[in-house]
Amino acid sequence: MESIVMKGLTKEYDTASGPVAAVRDLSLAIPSGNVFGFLGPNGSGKTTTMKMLVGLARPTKGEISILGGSPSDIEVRKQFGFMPESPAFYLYLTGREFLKLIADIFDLAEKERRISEVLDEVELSHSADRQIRTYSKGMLQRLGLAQALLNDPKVLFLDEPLDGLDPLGRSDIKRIFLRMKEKRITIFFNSHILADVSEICDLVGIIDQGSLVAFDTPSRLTKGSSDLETAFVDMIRKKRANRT
Amino acid sequence: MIRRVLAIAINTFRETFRDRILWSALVVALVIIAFSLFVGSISLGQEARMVVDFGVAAIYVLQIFIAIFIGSMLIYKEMERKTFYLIIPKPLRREEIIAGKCIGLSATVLTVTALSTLALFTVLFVEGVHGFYLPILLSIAYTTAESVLLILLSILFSGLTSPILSAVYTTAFYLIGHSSETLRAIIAATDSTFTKGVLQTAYYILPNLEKFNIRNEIVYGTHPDVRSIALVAIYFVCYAIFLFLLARAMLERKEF
Repeated sequence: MESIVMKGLTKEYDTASGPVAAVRDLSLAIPSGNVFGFLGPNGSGKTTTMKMLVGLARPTKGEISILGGSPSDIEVRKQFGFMPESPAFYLYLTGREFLKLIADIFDLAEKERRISEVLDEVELSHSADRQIRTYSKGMLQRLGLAQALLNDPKVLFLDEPLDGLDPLGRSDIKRIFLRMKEKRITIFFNSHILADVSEICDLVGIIDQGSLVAFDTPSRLTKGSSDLETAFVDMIRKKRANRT
Repeated sequence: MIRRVLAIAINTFRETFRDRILWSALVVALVIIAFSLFVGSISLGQEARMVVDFGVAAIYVLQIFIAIFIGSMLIYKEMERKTFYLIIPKPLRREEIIAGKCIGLSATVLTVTALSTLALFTVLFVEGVHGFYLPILLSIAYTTAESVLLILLSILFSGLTSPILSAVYTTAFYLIGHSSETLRAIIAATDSTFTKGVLQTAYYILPNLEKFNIRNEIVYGTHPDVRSIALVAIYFVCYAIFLFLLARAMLERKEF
């Protein structure tokens, strides 16, 4: 069964010189329990796709189904978590207060217990009662992940979760990912750090200039190449050469 | 639904309460209330009226200032800092966000209003001026209702434009809202049917904020009867619903 399905997804933005497509006719289906890495160069349409998936933007054309429903459906939203790129928080709150706000929005039962569980999960319990303004980049990413996990989601959307982290921070976040993977949570994450993607993902999609270039397992995509990065660069170059 | 609205409202209250502008405005209002003592002392035989007039005006200006200037930042700041990215994808309806923001800022207005009213009553008590307490509370209830309408207007504009322009537009609506009688006089003096039609439409669509002004009446010892209070309350509810629906439509259309 597929947790995430996109059919003919297109997003156009109106500009002075006419409509510009950020995403064109994108169709993908991610089976439940899989970790899907969505790769692409900067400005390729990864974040726009994710914004449409979580209801921050509306598709110009096409359909989205998450767990069989629309992302605008409140019942569907209760079942997914989202962490944006470089998440921004209410800095005057403590980490725990912020999670309390999110727990209130989800109207969770046993809020305090769940908040403590999630804080332990992302290894942030020791700093939970400090104001968010004092957090390091790594701690902010952990808090971003904690709020995405708070509702015990079946599907997790993560936009560049490893971006800006040092190797130690990346290793910690990857460890958390692997724990989520063990729990059979479907994870859809955007990244351009390819070495990490091949370690974690069951499936990889490559997007360039708004169009899907490839969609397969990391091992199949890297066949004939030394690693995923080489395969990625070759595929993008080939596609761009074909277009011109 | 109520829990979600309350969660947003509490967060908005907490956020606005930490705003230094709020506390600066409150200090200015308290200084004006204290200054009313001096003005009262130099006005021959009008001490009580001067203290009441100055005090009620200071509270009113404080309420309007918060509604326009802090309200104008509410939605814009969330979009600018991208804190909305963590809130919008949650199981929340857009109208719940508008309601939560409005209730949260209204609670802030009510809190500072309560503090400054307490200061005014203390001054009146020390001065031995009695008999104005209830009319003052009624006048403050009217101006609080006006500030709720301005909060909704600010929220509407802050989702459409920058905080500065939002404050300018809300201030413009505030000034127009207190010029309804002038507009009516212009309509009466206009001969062109088209212009008359346009102005009459504007007269009915734009807020008539003078309805919430009973400050002069209370200073001179008169106050509105129950019927006119009920009419103002109905007008407030209808106009608040109208603005709420506009703000909801604005946020519903918004993409991030």
